[in-house]
Amino acid sequence: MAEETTAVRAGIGPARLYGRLVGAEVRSTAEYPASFLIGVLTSGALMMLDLVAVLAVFGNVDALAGWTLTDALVLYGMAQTSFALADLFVGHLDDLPAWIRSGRLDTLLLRPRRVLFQVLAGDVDLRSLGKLLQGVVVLVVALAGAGVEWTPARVALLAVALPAGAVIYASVWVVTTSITFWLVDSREVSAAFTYGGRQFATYPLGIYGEWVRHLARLVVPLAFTAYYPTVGLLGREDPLGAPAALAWAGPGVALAAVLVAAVVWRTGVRSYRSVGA
Amino acid sequence: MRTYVEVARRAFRRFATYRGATGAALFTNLVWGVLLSTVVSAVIRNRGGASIDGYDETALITQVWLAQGMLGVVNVSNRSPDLSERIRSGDVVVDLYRPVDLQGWWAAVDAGRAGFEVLVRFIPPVLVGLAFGARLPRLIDAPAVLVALALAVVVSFALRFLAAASGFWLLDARGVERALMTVWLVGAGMTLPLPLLPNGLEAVLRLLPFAATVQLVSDVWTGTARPSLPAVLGVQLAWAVALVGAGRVVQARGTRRVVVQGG
Repeated sequence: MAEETTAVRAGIGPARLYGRLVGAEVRSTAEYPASFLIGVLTSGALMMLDLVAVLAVFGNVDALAGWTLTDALVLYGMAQTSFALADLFVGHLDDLPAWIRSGRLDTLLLRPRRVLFQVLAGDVDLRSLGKLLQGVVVLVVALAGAGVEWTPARVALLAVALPAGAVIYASVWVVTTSITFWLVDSREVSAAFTYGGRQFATYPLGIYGEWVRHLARLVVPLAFTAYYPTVGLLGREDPLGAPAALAWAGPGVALAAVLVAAVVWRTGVRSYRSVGA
Repeated sequence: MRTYVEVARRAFRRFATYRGATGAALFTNLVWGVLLSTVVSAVIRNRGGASIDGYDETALITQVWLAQGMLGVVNVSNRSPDLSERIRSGDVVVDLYRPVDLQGWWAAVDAGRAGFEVLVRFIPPVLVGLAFGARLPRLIDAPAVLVALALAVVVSFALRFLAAASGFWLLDARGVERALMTVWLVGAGMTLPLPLLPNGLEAVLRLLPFAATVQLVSDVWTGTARPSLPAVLGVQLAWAVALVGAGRVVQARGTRRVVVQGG
């Protein structure tokens, strides 16, 4: 109730408020253009190391689990781009443990907005744009190199799969960060699933063992961030024999992931006890 | 000497209190171990079992798990960068008042830290790795492995000390430390075992000190040291001496600057 009345009085919906807060971040970043540019370039360059690793791996084999380098680069581009999108919007969740330790989270609890909204709208790190840029460039080059035959359906698939993949990564981020409400610092555990999840999705599902594949389909649904959409984009048979329709499962899986993330986060916030004296 | 031993013992105890953080870090190491050893296995399987530059699957998988174990021991990610923070804040002046050598003091702290990490972050990944096809060193190689591990810690300390000491000039060493970490992860063979990289790149990386912190240890561990075991240990020793020596020179110059700044 209090939430609604204040919002009405202020005359600002969440979307506009988010826009304003990010706008403020853009303006403050623009004050130091050189520093911003260096940040963008370094974060992009760091991601290049992963690409070098993929290239090096394929320097030793002609194909991995039935995937050639050209196909695997599309997979890499999809995984990297959807991850970078998620990182841009929710990557600063990594700061939550520090907010809890310093007592800053208590301030957020007092304000008439949802805690998650405030955390996400608060400190967007625009340097993450470097990672996104790197992912998009690799994806475009890889798609051209793989000789994808573009049909309206495939264009639609690409347009749907990237945001859906990003939402799945973001949900994983929220769930694993929620651990911090119970344990002191969740960053390392969270990183194992988010950065580790991207590393996982970079390689064809077929290289992993049976139980890991099931985990990636049913528990931490990373298989839907890049693998299945890429199979659809390339228009090939899944070497593992999955039905072609799975390429389109992304949005449904993303929705389910968001629901789980929302429940876990709320439970976390409810059980939160301030560390403050 | 007793002072340094006591400092190391207390550092060991101090790091032993960070249980939650250590457990979480270990968990991450294990996840990456599984991910990377899967990639390595897939590469070998798709080569029809053919080894790479004389490294068979066992040697490469062992290297991957060893690298995850060494991450914490050689402290690549520079957890608790005390010295560089003390240089930035100026607290390093207090360290200089003490009747002990600055580098020696922090080396003792690092020895205590490394000792703790060996117990909790090195041994578990190595044991878990056995289930994924990694192996233990032959008994006859065990003494050489211990020497290689110790030298790896010394080289890693010297590298981090140099990066932190850059703060005497830059005031903020964080940029240098981040750059060091990036090069280190690749150069040591932590992102991928060096034999998987193109031969030219591998040859260059093997000439740098980073390889001495993981890849060379792994070579000693798996019996793939080349051209010979003494040569590999010699390279590690040479880097340890050279980098610690460089640290002494930098310390002598840098601390003089602190005095000037402090007035």
